[in-house]
Amino acid sequence: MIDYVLKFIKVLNSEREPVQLAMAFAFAMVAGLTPLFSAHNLLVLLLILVLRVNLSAFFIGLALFSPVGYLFDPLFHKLGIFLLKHADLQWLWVDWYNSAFWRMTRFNNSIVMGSVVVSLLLFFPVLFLADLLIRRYREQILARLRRLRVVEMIKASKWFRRYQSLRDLRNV
Amino acid sequence: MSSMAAINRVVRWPGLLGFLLVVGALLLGTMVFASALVKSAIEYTGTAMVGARVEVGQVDLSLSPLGFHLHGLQVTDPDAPMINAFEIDDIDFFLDTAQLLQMRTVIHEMQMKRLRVKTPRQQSGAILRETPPVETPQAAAGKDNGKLDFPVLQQIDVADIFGREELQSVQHLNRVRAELKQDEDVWSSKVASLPNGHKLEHYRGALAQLKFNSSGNALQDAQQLQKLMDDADKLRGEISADIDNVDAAWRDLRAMVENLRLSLQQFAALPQQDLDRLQAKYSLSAAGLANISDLLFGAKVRDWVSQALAWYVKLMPIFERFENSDSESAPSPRRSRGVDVRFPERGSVPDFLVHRASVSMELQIGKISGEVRNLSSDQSVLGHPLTFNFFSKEMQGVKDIEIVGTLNHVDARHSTDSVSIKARSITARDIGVLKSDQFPLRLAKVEMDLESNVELVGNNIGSKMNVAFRDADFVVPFKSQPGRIAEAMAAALAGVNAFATQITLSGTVGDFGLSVKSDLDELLRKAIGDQVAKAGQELRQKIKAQLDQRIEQPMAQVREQLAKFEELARTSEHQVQELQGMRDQVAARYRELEQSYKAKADAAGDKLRQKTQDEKQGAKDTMRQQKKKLKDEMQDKLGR
Repeated sequence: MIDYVLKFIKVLNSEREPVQLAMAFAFAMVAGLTPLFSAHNLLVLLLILVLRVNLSAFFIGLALFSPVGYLFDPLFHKLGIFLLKHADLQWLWVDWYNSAFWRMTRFNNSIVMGSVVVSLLLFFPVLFLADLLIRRYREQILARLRRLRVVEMIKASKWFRRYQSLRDLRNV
Repeated sequence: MSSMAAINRVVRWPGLLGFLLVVGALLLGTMVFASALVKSAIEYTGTAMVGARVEVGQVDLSLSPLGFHLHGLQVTDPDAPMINAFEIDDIDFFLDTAQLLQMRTVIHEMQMKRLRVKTPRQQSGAILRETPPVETPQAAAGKDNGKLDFPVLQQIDVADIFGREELQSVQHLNRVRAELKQDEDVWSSKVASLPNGHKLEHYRGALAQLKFNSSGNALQDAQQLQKLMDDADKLRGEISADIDNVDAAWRDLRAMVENLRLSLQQFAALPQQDLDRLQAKYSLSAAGLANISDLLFGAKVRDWVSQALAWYVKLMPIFERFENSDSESAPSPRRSRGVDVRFPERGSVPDFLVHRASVSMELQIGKISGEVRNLSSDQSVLGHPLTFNFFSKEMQGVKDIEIVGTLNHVDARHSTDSVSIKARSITARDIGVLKSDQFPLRLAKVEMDLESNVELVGNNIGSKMNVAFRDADFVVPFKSQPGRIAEAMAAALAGVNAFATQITLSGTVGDFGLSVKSDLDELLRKAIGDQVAKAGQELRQKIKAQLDQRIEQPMAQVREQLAKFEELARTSEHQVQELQGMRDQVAARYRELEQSYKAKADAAGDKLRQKTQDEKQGAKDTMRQQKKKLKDEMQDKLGR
C-alpha cells in the first residue's frame, strides 16, 4: 500500500494528465460505494485496465471510498427500495428481471440499486472536481511544498535514498 | 495513423489482456471452489430456514453435465438439537446449465438415497436464533399422554370437590351476609339519631305544660295564651320533623327488608342448581364413557398431528416465499446485504425447481420410497402444485402403505394441501394404551387398517381418519384389587375382538381440535351402566349433605339478622304512629288555645271600643261648650 501511495504521490507531482488521476478517483468512487463483488464492477475493472487510468490512484481511492460506502448503506437501501418500488418504473424492472443479463447484475438488490444510482450521479462531478483540484494543487501548492524544509530533509534522508535505490533495483 | 495514436493515448491495450486474465482467474476460482461454495450455500440457507444447524458432509462437482453429489446431509431437529430431524446419505442432481445462466436453479432429476429420520448427532445442532422459534401447533383440547384415568374410575372426594368448586348458593349467601353487615353498620348509626324513649317523654311533658290558667286580667291572659300558642307551634314542628325522620327511616328499612326477602327467594333455587351442576360434572354416569376412545387414542394422535403440523409450519415459508417476500419493507436489513426485491416472472420457470426427486427412506421399521414432483420456490410462476407419493411393502408390521399428497400454493391466497394415507394390516404388539394405576390398559396384540385424508385449505384443517382394528387382545394387569366398575370394564374389553375408530380433525393449523369416536364407547356404556348409575346416586347424596351443611349456618345468621331488621321496622312504625298521635294532640291543644285567645281578644276589644266611644263623646261635648262660650264672647264684643 505504501508503494501505491508513493507511486500516487509521484504521479500527482508529475506532468501526467490530471484527468487520468481524476478518472481513477471517479471509478474508485463507483467501485467503493457499490458492493465490490457485483457484475457492474467487472465493467469498472475493464475500464480502469483498458483506459489509461492511474491504478495507484484507483486503489487509494477504493480504500477511501469503501468505508464511505459502508457508512451510507442504509441510505442506499432506502433509495434502492424507493426506485425498485416506484410504480412508474415497474415496467422497466419487470423487463430487466426477466432478462438473464440484468438479473446477473443484481439490479433488484436494494443496496446495489441505490449505490449504483448514487455513484453514477456523482461520477462526473467527482471527475471534474478531482481534475480541478489536481490542477490547482500542481499550480499553487506543489511548488511551495517542494520548498518546504521538511520535504527537503526527507528527500535527503538515508531511509528515503535506500528506499529509492531498492525501488530502482526492483524496476530493473 | 494519427487517429491510432490518439486511441493509443487513451487506451492501454495490455490492460485488456489483464482484464481477461482477471476474469479467467475468477472463473477458474469459482470452478475450483464451487463445491465449497455450494456446501456453504446449502448449510447457510438450510440453517436459516430450519432454525437449527444444517450440515453437508461433502459436495462433489461434475462439469459435464453440471451436477452435484451431496453426501451426508444432516438437518437438526430444532426442538432436539442432539437429534437430526432427518439425514440423507446421498443426493445426486444435475443442473440445467441454460437456466443457471439466467440465475435459476433448475433440476430435472434428483435422487435422495437412504433418508433416515431421528438419527442421533455427535454435536449439538442448536444455533443462536435471530428470529423467534416457530410455535408448535397445539390441540385445542390437548392432553398429557403420560398418565390418564377414566373419570368413571377416579375416587371422587366430595370434600375435594367443595374445595375447588365455587358454589353459587354459598357465594350468594356470603354476598347477602356482606350486604347485611354493611346495612347493620348503617342502621346502628341511624337508629342513634332517631327519637328515643327520653325524647318521647320530653314531648309528653311539654304537651302537659301547654295548659292555660286565667289571671283575671284580660291582657295578661292574652299574652299568656300567645306564648302557649307559640310553644305549641314549636312543639308541633319538632314532632313533625321527628315524624319525617322516623318515617323516612322506616321506609328505607322496609325497602331493605323487602330486598333481603327477595334475595332469599332467589337463593331458594340455588342449592338445587349447585347440586345438579356438581352432579352433572362429577357424575359417575355411563354417559361419561362417551370419551373413552379419546382417552385411549386421542393423546397419541394429538402428538402425531402436532409434530406433523410443526414441520408443515416450518416448511411452508418455502412455498410461500413469493407472497411473503416483503422483507424489503424491513426497516434495517443486514448491513451491506440489502434485500432482493422480487418482480413477476414472465416465463414459467421459477428461481428454484426440482422437476422430479426420487426419495428412498430407511426408517426404523423398514424402507419406503417414492417421488416428489415440482418442488419449487414459486408455484405461482410454475403453475403446478407440488405432488408426492410414497409406497412401501417392506415395512415391518405393515403389509403395505401408500402416502399420496399435493401441496397446492399456485394461488397462495387460496392454498390447498392434502395428504392421503392408506395402510393395510398394521400389526402391533404389547401397546400401553393407558398409563393408569387404576386401569393399566394394554393391547397385547392388534391388527389394523388405516385410511386417512387430511386437507388444509388456507389455515383451516379438515381431516378424517378411519382405523379398523381386528384381532384385538385387550389386557388389564391390575396391580391391586380393582373396583367394581374397573372390573366390569376389564371384562367388557376382554371380549372385544374388533372395533372401528373414527378420528376427525378440525380447526386451524395453530389451534386444532380432535374428536375420536369408536364403537368401544357404546360397548363400555352398556357393560358398566348399572354400576355407574348407582355410584352416581351415592355421590349425589353425599354432595347434597355437604352442601346443606355448608349453607346451614350462614342461612341461620341471615335469617336472624332479617328478624332483627323486621323488629326494628315494626318499632319504627309504632314510633311513627305514637309521634303522629302526639302531634295531633299538640295540634288540638293549639286550636283550643287559639279559641281562648280569640275569646279573650274579643272581650278586650269590646271594652276598648266602649271606652273609646265614651272618650269621643266627652271630647265632642267639650268642644261644643267651648264653641258656645266663644260665640257668646263674640256677641258680647259686637254688642258693645
